Amino acid sequence: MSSKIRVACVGYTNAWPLTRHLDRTLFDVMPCVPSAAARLLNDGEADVGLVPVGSLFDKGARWRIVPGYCIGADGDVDSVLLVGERPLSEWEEVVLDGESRTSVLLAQILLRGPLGRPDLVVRPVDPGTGAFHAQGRVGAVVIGDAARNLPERLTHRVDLGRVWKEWTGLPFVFAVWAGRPDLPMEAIDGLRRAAAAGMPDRFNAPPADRDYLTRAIRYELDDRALMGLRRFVALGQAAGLLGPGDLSLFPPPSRLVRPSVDGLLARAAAGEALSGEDALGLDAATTADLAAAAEERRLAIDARREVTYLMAGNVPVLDPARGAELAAKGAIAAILQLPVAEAGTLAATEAAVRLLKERDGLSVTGLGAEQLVGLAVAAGVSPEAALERLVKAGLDGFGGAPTRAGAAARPQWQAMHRLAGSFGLRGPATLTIGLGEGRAARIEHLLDVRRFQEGELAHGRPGFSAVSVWTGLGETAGLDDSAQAWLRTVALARLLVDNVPHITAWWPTVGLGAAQTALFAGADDLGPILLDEAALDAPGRSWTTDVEEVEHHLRVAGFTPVRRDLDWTTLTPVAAAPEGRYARF
Amino acid sequence: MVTELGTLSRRRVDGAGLADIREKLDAGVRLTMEDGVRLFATPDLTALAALANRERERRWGDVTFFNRNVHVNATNVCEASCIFCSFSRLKTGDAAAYTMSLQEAVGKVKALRGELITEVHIVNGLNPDLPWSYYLDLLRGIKAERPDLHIKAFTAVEIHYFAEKYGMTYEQVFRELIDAGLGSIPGGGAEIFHPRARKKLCDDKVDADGWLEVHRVAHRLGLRSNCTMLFGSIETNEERVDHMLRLRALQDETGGFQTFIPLRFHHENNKLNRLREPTAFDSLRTYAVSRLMLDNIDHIKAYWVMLGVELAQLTLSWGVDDIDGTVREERIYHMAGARTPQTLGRAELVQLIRDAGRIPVERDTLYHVVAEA
Repeated sequence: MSSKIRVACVGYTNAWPLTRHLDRTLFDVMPCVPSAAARLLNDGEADVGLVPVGSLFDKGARWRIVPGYCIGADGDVDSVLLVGERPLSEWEEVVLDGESRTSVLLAQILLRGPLGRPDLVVRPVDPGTGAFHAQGRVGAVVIGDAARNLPERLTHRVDLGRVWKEWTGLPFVFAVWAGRPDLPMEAIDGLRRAAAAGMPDRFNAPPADRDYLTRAIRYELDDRALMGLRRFVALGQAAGLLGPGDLSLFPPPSRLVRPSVDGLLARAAAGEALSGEDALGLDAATTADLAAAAEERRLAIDARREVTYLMAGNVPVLDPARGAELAAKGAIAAILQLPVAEAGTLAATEAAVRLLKERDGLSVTGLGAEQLVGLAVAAGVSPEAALERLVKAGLDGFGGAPTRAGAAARPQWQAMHRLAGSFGLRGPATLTIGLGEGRAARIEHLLDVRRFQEGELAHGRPGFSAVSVWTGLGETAGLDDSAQAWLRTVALARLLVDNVPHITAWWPTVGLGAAQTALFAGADDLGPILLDEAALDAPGRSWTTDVEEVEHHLRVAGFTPVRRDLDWTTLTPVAAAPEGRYARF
Repeated sequence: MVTELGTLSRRRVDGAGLADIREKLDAGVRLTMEDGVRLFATPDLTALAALANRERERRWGDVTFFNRNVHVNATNVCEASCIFCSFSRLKTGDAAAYTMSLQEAVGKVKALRGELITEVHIVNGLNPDLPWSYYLDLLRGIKAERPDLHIKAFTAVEIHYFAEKYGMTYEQVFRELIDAGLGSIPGGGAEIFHPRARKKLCDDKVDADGWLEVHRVAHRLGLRSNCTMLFGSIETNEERVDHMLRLRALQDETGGFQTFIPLRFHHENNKLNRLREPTAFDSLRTYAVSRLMLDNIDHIKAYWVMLGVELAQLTLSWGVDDIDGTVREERIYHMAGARTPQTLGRAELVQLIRDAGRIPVERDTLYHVVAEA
C-alpha cells in the first residue's frame, strides 16, 4: 500500500493503551481533541478515528465501529464528573464544557432522568473552562485529565459513570474506533492488535494513572458495553440530542478461504481412490458439490432410484421378549443389544440368539468388536471360541455397534471383523462422529475401512456390506456432530469407500429428515427402522419408528422403498399404499 | 469470488434437465412462473442446492445472519378461523385463551434486561375485546423499559384488523403505531395468496391484495418489513410459485421487503391434523426455489423453532442466509406441536453456523452488525 491509514485519536491518558502500539508502517496517527476526531472523519481527512459516541451521528451515521475495544466505564469513571461548590440540589445552572460532547449529552440525559434536575439551566462554555466556572450555585461538567485534577473547593462531585451504572445496570461507552465502511480488514486487525498489545501495559503505567487505567476505564466492547452503547444512543435520539442513524460494527470477511477442489471431486466421483490428503482437501467443497459427487458415485454403482431398509429392531439380550413384539410388527431381524458383559453374558447371548431364531423366526445380528471382546473376556474364553458358540447358536451377522475412529480402536475392530469374516459373517462398518475425533481421523477411518475391505475381499472373506455413519450420542458441546457434518461424512463415505457396496444413513440421532437428505448425498439405505429409544444410550432422544412415515419420506423424495434382509440378498420393493387425500409431500 | 458452479454440481443441474434455468441465472435473467414450477417438480434436491447456494453466495458469501430477540405473543384470543392454527376461534374465557396485562407483556422484555437482545417481535391474535390503546400502550411500555430495542410488531393481518375495527386507514394505524415506537412489521399472515388455497385455509382473513396493500403502505411510510409463505398444507406447487411472484412484484414497486421466510406447516392441535407435515425434502426445495425466484429480496430466513435444529442447519446449503435468533418465548408453533427447544443459546447458534462451514454475523432487525460472533 502506498498510502497509510489515517487515524485520528486523542492524546488523553485513557486512549493511550489503545494507541501506543499502533503500527506506524500501517497507520498515520493524527493526534487531536475528541470533537476533532469526528470532524476529521466527516471531512474525509481521516479514515478511522477514536470517535466520541456523541459525535457518531453528526453526519448521519455513516461510520462502522471496530469490534473488540472501546473507552468505557462500568461504574465510577473518575474522569467525567458533575462538580460544584454546593450539592447538585442547590444548583441553578450547569455549565457544559464543550470539550466532550458525549459527556455533555450523558450529563443532560442523567439530569433529565435519574438525577431529577431537568429544570437546570444549561450553558455551554469554552473547552477546558468548566472547573473555573463552577462557583456558588453554578455547577459544571468536567472531563478528562482536568476532572482528575480538580481544585479542592469543588467538594461536591457526582461521577456520571456511576450514575449511569446505577440507573441502567450497564457500562457506559465514551468512545469507539469508528471508520469509513470500506476500511480495509488489515486496518481493523491493526487497531485490534494494537489494543490487545496495549492492555497489559496499563499495569506498568505511572502510579498516578495505573488505578485509573486498570480499574476505572473499561476497554472491552463486549455484550454489556454494546448494550450500554445502544441504550445511550437510543436515549439520546429519543431526546433529540443525537442525530438519527443506526449502530453497526464492521462485519467479518464474508468468505472463508476455500481453494477450488473441482478436480479432486471429479476424480472421486469417477471412482478413483483418494489419498488421505486429497480427501481432507474435500473439506473445502460446498455441501452441494460434495453431495453431487457422492450421488454421481452412488448412481454409477447402482442407477436405480431405490432405497433399502431393514425391518429390524433392537432386542436386549437379557430381555428377549421384545423379539416377539418385533416379529408381530413384521420384523425379519433382531439386533442384539448387549449389557456390560459379566461371566454369564455369553451364555445369555447364546440363549437369546436361539430363542429369537427359533421362537420368533428372526435373523440375528448386531455385535460389535468391542462387545465381542468384552463377552469373551468375561466368559474367560478367546473371542474366537465365543464367536464360534454364537454362530452355532445361529448368529447371522456381525457389526453395527458404534465404532470410534482412530488408531487406538483400529487393531481391535480389524481383528474382530476379520474373525467374523472367517465365520462367513457380514455386517456394516460403522463410523461414529462427534466423539472428539478430528476431521482427519474420520477420513483416516474411512480409508482404513477401504483398505480392510480390499484385504478381506482378496482373501475370499465377505467383508463389509455397508458403511453406516452415526453421530455421537452425547450432547458434548464443541464436537462437530451437527447435521451438516453428518451429511458431509455420509458423502465422504460414499466417495472414499468405493469397495463397500452400500452406505447407510443411520438416522435415529440426526432425524429422518436429515437421512432423507443424505439419500441425495450418496446414501442408499436407511438401515434398521424398528429401533426404540433403548437402542441408544441416549435418553430423551426420541424418533418415529412408524414404517409408513419412513416409506413416505422415501416416496416423496422420489425413491422406491425396498425392504432388504441382512445381506441384501432378498430385495422386496414396497407397493405404494394409497396415500391420504392431502399427503402429497 | 467462487460463484461459479462446480463441475459436479453443474453436471447434476444439467442432468436434471435444468440447464436452461441455470443459463438464465448465469445471465441474470429473471425466472418465470413456469421455471418455478419446474424447479418444484424436479426430484433432484442436490441440483436445487447447487443453484440456490450459488445465488446465496453471490449475495452473502459464507455470511450467515442471526439475531437475538424476544417474542411477545400478548394475546392468543382470535376471531379468525384459520384451519392451520391452534388459536383458531379462541375466545376470551376459553381454557387455552390468554391475554396478558400490559405489565405482564412488558415484563417479558424486562426479564431480559441483562441481555443484548436488539428486537422485540410481537404477533397476536385478532382479539375483539381489546381497546386500540392497548397496543399503543404496549409499544410505549416496551420503549420506556428498553428504548434501545427495535419493535417489530403486528402482521398485515393485524394491521388490517385494527383499521377495520377501530375505523382508521392503514396509514392512520401505522402513524399512531410509529409514534408509539413501531420500527418495522413482521411478515406473517401471508399464508398462501392464491384464492383457491386461501379460501380453504383462512377464508375470513385479509385477502392477498389487502395483505400486499398493508405492506405497500408500510414501505411508503419508511417501514421495512418481511414476508412469509405457509408451505406444506393444501397448496399446490403452482400456488407456491404464484405466491412468490406476487411478493416479487410488490418488491419491484417498493423495495421494502428485507427477508422472505418460508414457514413450515405444523399439524398438531389444528384442523389439518390428518395431513402429514412436509418432509425435509419438501422444506429444503422450498427454501431453494425461494432463493431462486425472489431475486429482489435480500435474505431468505429459516426459522429453526419450526424446522428443528438439524434441518435449519441444512437449509444453509439450500439458499438460506439467515437463521432466526435465540427466541425467548414462542407460543404459536409450540401450540401446534413443535418439539424444538424454545431457546437456543447464542453460543449454540454460533456453533451451528460454524459447523455448517459458514461465518456467523449477529445482526439487528435492519441487518446492521450488532456484535462479534
